[in-house]
Amino acid sequence: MNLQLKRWSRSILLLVVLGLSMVINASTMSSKTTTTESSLLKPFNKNSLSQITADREGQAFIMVLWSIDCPPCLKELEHFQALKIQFTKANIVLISTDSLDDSALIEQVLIDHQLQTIDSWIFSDSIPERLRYKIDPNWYGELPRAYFYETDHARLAHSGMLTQAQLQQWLSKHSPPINVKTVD
Amino acid sequence: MNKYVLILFTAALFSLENSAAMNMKGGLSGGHSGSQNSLVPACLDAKALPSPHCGRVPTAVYRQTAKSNGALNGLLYVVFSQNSHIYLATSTDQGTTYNAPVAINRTPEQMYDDGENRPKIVLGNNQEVYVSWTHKTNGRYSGDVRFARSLDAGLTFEAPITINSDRALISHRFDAMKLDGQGHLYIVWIDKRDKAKAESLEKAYDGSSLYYVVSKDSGASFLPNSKRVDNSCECCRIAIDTDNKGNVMTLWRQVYPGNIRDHAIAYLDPKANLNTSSATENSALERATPMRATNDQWQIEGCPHHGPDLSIDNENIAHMAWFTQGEAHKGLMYGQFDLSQNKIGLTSSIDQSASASRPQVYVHEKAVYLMWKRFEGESMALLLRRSNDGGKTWLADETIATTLNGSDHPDWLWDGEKLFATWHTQSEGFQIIPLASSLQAEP
Repeated sequence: MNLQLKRWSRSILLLVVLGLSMVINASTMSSKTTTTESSLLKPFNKNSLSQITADREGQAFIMVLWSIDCPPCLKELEHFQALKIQFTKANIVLISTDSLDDSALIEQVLIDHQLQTIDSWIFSDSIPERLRYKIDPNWYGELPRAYFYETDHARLAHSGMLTQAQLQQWLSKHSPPINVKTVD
Repeated sequence: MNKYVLILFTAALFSLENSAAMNMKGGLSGGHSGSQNSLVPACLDAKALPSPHCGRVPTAVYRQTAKSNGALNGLLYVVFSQNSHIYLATSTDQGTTYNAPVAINRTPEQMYDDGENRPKIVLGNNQEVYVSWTHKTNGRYSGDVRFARSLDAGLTFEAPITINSDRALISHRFDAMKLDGQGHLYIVWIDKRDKAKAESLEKAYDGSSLYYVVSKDSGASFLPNSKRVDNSCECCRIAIDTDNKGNVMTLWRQVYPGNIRDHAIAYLDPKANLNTSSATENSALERATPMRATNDQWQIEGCPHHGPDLSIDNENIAHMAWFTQGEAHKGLMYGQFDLSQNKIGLTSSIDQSASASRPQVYVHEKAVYLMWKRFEGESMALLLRRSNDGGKTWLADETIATTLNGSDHPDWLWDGEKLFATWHTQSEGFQIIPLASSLQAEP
């Protein structure tokens, strides 16, 4: 009984801490984002990368490029789903390289993976290569593709699926400390 | 303390609920359409007639009919998709003006009309016009291969038929079509029936398979569906051409063990053009095995949606262009495969830049042409490179067109004497670009 109570209080506290960080993030984000549409997906145009980085000034984050046509991307989404309580609107950005025509499908995939609270974008340009070029002139478009931004926004590119361990490692290094053991 | 916790908890929940509600609304309004629709002013008029400029993925062939006073006389045929129809438009002035288009499928149907999966047109030896395309059926990645023919040079078409005998709502897509030296018509496509069967038995199956049909009566009827190969890549177009004896050859991305997605080349119909002597049975057996045509060692889980191109010369050298991100090669590649000796020949890089895509190859005698797209910071350029010595050495690249908006895959148009590039762009419409005389094959 005592143990159960402990567990319960741990999870409540964890939720509170996360909820708090979400509220804070939501308020800092909303003041900066210019999107007025209440869609899950924001159109990613040639100026969007500057907006994404400006919104996260001084913060480390992961930017992930994915597509519904890419099976490993969908597997990777499962990793994000598994760790979703540690992801906030600030520390991760998802960008779908699919066409705007597929918005409904993509939103459904995000909902299915319970990732609807993540900051999500979708490619929006008649020349998708322009967006690839803006993101990284050396990126061939292979997916999934991730960029690990440090607090000074120096970044490291990664091609291929991220493992849950890699993500967990990054999160332990960069997230606000959520150490369940100290709760007692 | 507990009270404080509860308040925060509720605030967090409210914030979540609120954003979920907003998201739902967004989901309903999501799904913009027509992001790649034509921007040509004439096409913005709602009453504009279907045309190769306004439609999607126009694909052209040319029939040379006669020569008078040294001038070329012939008819340009362009198939394209618009408003759930495949249309055929013809032109007697090489695309300056078009006759009123003919709707090939009179009943509208959903269809795939992207650069990689587009309608195909082949002209018969008389007045036949053969057209194939992929009908989009219910379900993601599902489709049926469709075929229609005209026996009066494209004035009228018979009702379309479905080519794949398997009618499950799965993928039968990426059709490719070619006439062989005997006038037999071949259609090959990527088919997921074997994968579906394997999955129903809970067995692993890499990729899809290639199926084909042949018609020996000018498209009036087709022999039963035949499987050509297992484990093809799922969504890269199939390249097709005839060898120097008129046999249909195909080049496609294959899933080799370990998810290596390099290319294979094969006779589409191992028994075609062979008589029944025992010596030829061996040949048929030999021909049945697909050959590894590229060795890039590209291991990738998933389909890159970037298929190869193929053009075979008089000496039976297959000239190939493709995209890879393999261990051995990266970017756009050009390569040769010697069909007489069954071995890979010259291999060289076309363009390693990350913004280069959609390579095309065309060979005429000793002249080899390469064409591809490259995004150059602001605009998309169409580049051309030529070799006069069968691909050993290359002249300097030339930019033959640029565009500021969306663009289709480029393609070739051979009018019997000269080579043209064709390119459909959102801003400019369907362009038939003559190659400078310096780039034409020497007489």
